[in-house]
Amino acid sequence: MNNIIVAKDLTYGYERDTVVLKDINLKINKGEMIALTGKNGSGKTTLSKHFNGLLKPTKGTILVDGIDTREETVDRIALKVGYVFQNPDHQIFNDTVYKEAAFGPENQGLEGEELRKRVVHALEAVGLLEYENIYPYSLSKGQRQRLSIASVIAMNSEAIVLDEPTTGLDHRESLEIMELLKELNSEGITIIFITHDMNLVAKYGQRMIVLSQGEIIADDSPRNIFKMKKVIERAHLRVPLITELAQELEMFRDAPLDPQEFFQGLCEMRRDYANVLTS
Amino acid sequence: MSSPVSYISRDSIIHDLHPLTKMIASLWFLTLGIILNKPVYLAAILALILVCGFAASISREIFKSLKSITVFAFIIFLIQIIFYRSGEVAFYIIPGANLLPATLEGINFGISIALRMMIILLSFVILLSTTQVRDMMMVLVEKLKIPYDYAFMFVTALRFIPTFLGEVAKIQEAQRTRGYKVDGINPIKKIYSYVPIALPLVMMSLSKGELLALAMETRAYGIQNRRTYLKEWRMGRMDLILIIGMFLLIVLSIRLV
Ligand SMILES: Nc1ncnc2c1ncn2[C@@H]1O[C@H](COP(=O)(O)OP(=O)(O)OP(=O)(O)O)[C@@H](O)[C@H]1O
Ligand SMILES: [Mg+2]
Repeated sequence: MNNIIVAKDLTYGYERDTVVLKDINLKINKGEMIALTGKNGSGKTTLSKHFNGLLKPTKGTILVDGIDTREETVDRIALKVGYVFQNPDHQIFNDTVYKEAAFGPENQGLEGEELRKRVVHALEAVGLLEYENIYPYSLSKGQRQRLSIASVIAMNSEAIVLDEPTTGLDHRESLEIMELLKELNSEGITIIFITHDMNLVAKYGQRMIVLSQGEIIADDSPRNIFKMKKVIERAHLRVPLITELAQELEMFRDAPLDPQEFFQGLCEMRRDYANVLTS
Repeated sequence: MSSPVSYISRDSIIHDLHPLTKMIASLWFLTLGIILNKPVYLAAILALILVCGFAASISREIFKSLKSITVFAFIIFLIQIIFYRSGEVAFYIIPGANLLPATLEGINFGISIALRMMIILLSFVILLSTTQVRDMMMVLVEKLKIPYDYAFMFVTALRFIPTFLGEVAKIQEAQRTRGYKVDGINPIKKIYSYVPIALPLVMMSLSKGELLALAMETRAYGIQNRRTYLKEWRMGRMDLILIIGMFLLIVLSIRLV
């Protein structure tokens, strides 16, 4: 089994006559790092809640690691796919950071040394180990977000879905979270993150999925999707400024995604130009 | 998030009535529902309420809530006839074994109780779906002279119920993905197992309350004693006729009892 998620003709509506997701077909491989994007209300959250069985399709099927979500309960599927909600305050209820991160694995039946090892590893990964005895509400927003990620890491799931994990965080805290996700991904965990920030997509998304009105209108690498003017327009996205500038200049073979690539491109051009002059 | 009963904006004579008239009418239905006990009278009152719903052109919505209210009323009816012991036996609920006798009086009593339930619930459904909360608040403050702060507190609490239900749903979702389950039988354990839901809710409510207070203060809440209202209501002729009519009918029904 190489696919962690397979959706087939997935259709969903919250009420009987409304359709929020239309015929979604999607395969996600183990070990991918995917950015899920689209304008407000396009169905990103709704789709992502299907990945761990919080919502079940009204039509079509979704398999999580080969299991039909309609045949399993959420707490069982959560072993495979963890979910980090947009607002960490919807889940924090313990009086120490350690206990908060231990809640999930405890529910899985872990105890003693093994539990301790898991929780310490998770807190270490998000850089909160030194705060293990602190009251969670005294942490900053970014730290609380990392705590909720730790409490998912501690459950040892194969994939983690994050709904706008960097919204409301400053630049530094956002990057720390994204670097953490990249690190987890390099350990083999599948990462699916929802975001409106195209700079983060460019930097961290190996693959990008664009939703519009409940349908997937693009599914490719960010580099390729940034060239699709119509898709960008329809999904109310804006490519990173440096990419837009390069596209306007029409001097680059392949529009760069960040300043570094832009600079490299310029250097190449200068070299070519020098070669032309000398020959 | 829509709550089970919320204001439905329509153009109707009921919507145009003074909020005070409608509040009196709800109390009137409540009183009649309590003092009358013959099923015929109660059925007549219920019919009158349905007419009001029709006049408010919310018959579709009323019909929807009527369905769930009827189920509820029927269960109450069943409980009554099972536990009512005196009087002539009409039939047995489990006929073969002559078990659980239902008496004539019990049936009568059960029907009355069920009708009462429906009257009380429906009259409040109609009140809440045809009267805006802020108009009821105006009546509480201006006509009944309740201090504005208390009226505001009451109305704000009502207004936040749907929000809280939404928050509870989100918290439940978050904890479920962490393998949370409500533990079964042991009552102490059961209460304890609600902590993961209750605590985030309390924390969020506190911070919401603080924000609300701040937002109100920055918009000069409490700076002046005299308040004005977006819409000033005036008692019309229809209101007076209805209030006098209701008064007379109450006197009449006291004689009926
Ligand atoms: N609980 C709900 N009940 C009914 N409709 C809902 C519910 N949640 C979302 N919707 C509707 O479903 C559609 C998709 O919502 P969803 O939250 O999935 O969008 P999104 O892409 O996550 O948007 P955002 O960027 O604002 O988070 C919207 O039209 C929304 O109004
Ligand atoms: Mg969303």
